[in-house]
Amino acid sequence: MDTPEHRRQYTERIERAAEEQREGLRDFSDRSRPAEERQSALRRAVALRGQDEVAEAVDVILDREEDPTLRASALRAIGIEVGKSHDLIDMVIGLLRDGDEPEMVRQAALRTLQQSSFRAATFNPKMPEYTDALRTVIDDPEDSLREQALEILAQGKDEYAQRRLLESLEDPSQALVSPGKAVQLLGNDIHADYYPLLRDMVQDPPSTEAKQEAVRLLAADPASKELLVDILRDKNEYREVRNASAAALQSLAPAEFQEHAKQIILDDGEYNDLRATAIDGLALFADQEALSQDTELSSRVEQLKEQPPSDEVERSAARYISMRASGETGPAAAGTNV
Amino acid sequence: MKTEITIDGADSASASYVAWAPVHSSIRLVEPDEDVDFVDVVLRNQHENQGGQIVFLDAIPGEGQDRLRIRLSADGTPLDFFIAGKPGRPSQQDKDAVLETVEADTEVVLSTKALMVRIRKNANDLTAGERDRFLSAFAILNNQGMGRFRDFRDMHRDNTSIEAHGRAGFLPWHRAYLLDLERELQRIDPSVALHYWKFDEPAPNLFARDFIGVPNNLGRVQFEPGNPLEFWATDGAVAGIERSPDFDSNTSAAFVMSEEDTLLLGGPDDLYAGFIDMEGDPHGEAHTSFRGSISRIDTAAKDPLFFMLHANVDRLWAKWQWLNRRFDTAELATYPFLGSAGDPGATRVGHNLRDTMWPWNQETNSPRPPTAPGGDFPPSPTENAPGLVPTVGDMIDYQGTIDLGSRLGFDYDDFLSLIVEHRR
Repeated sequence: MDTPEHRRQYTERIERAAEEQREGLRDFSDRSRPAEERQSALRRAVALRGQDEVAEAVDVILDREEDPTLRASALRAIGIEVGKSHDLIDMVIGLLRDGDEPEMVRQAALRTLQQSSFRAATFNPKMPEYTDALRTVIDDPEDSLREQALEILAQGKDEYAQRRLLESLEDPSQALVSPGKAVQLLGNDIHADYYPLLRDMVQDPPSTEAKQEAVRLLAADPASKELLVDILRDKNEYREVRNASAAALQSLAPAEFQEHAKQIILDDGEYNDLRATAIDGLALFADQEALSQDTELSSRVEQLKEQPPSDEVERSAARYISMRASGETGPAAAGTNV
Repeated sequence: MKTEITIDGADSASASYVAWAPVHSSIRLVEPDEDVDFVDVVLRNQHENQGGQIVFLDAIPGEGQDRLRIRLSADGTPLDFFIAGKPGRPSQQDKDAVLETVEADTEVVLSTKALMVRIRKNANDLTAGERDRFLSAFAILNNQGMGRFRDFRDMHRDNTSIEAHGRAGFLPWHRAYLLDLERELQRIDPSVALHYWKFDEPAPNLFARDFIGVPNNLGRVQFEPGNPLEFWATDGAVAGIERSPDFDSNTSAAFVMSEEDTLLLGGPDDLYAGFIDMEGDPHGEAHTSFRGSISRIDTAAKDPLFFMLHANVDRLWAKWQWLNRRFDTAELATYPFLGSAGDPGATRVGHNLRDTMWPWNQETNSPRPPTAPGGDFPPSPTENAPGLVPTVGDMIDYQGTIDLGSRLGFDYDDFLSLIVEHRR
């Protein structure tokens, strides 16, 4: 790398980008141009930050006669400034709430607000209004908007969203999202009284993905230990569901996981992907003292490394042996230089 | 006859890591042949065509050279020099940069020292070994939600967000946060660096089942069997990551402005006060290019991708500093709040240059958050900075450009240290 040359070339790239931004700004401001050209100009301008530029963009955003694509682009282009201004946040929340606005504009509003929420110093005082708008949107006819709003609220452990999710699982006619998604979102704030519902879902799942999500959430339910073992050992079960049960069981009952993982590793009739998962679960998290005394397991893992039935088993066996060699988590333990 | 090399005052294996910034070293003759007053030796890379490479400087500022000839006194007096990683030649494996000392006339090898040129790299370009070591260290740190990673999860929450977001301290706070995490990863495996997701380019190798995973229809991230992240858990016992990109992660960048546009945010005078707008775009836009936990402050740190996203945010700041030479903490262009909280014109506590940063200062009285997870800032075997309780200002001169003692011990693969570069 010739460094002065590298710096010179890089500076030229920056200067070209600056020139393109200037051209974009100029073309966007030219109202005689068609919407398509102004939208393309906005992409080149990248971000509108000056007072006059932002005012011009706001005019476009609020003008329902304008092309929705241009309005959405203008909204995205003032995203940085929205994160600094309560007035602009209010304006964008209004767009999100307004069911008469085109979906494209409301999607842009939602993304801009979510981005602005990272500017905590400005945005935090507006969080109650944003939350209230999101609660409105979860009943919106637009699937995508509804699901996104529900996700954002559920991640924040919003009590209203949690209640609506639970209702939608108990009564499918109230469903806001698919059962699998509802279970996943409930997992953001799991309560013990959800467990009976989740166990029922595992026994009679509406979909494989819903079952996978429910299995995950049972990781903190002691009453589900046997259920998780049954799933883990069921060769007719979907791989993703067995994998979820492996992670859940490892967390809930590490000793039981260790024993069943060993049986899976020793079983030549077992699926290789699950054997790799079992080897890794032991290598990374099991009781290293107990493992060090298990010569049957060690010699089988050695054999799997020497005569690997698959690439994933070979990789996991190599990691296991490397960690055993180091005797603890450490430089050699942390991986291989494959 | 042998030579003995000491890197930055420490002769231990744990100190054998360098980046682009020069590191003080010394060499002395031990067990010299009889009847000689001095010996001329050459310092060089043992393998010029493989592994990481070192450059040598007899003083700083100085010119990095592939070989350095020096005269050693037979009485064992040490001689100072500096080493740095060679531009464009970072290591791929631990200790793959072997420095050797040979007698100048005979080329007899007098000593060797194995080092690593440890650099934060574009995650999309890692070797399988680099990727796997990185993932394993992360998984061990997480330990299914019960490991030290929990502190990093707890540092980045809604009720702590004001310490780290929305003001000038956004970039310094996250630099400290990442460095804290990186040092913890390096306790597990010292060959690991915190690699970055270059979010303005497609990264198909990163968004793959053998790396950071790909989502199913519900946004549940799926991994290749044997990927250590299969057992990733936060917030209690429940395992798994929820993340689905709104962009095509195989062919497209995230919805962010380009690197060049980001570096223009400082305006015509290249001021930090303008550059900090990158908190909105590309930073915020990178977060919200996904659905899932990464799209919200309170839950973003549940996803290991978050740390690679922020490594790129930090890289962009570092690159802006490099491009505009913004390392001097006496200049307002480098950082706009030079004093302490309470001074005239100061901003909120934690965002002024001389303020200590939560949680490493363990302050839990209002207006700081009520808890301070994680304890002191972790020391490094190779660096003295930033100390146990870093200030905002400690994060600025990260390469030791102004003061070598400020060096924090990390660098990025696509630009260099000004100290080496100036003289090239």
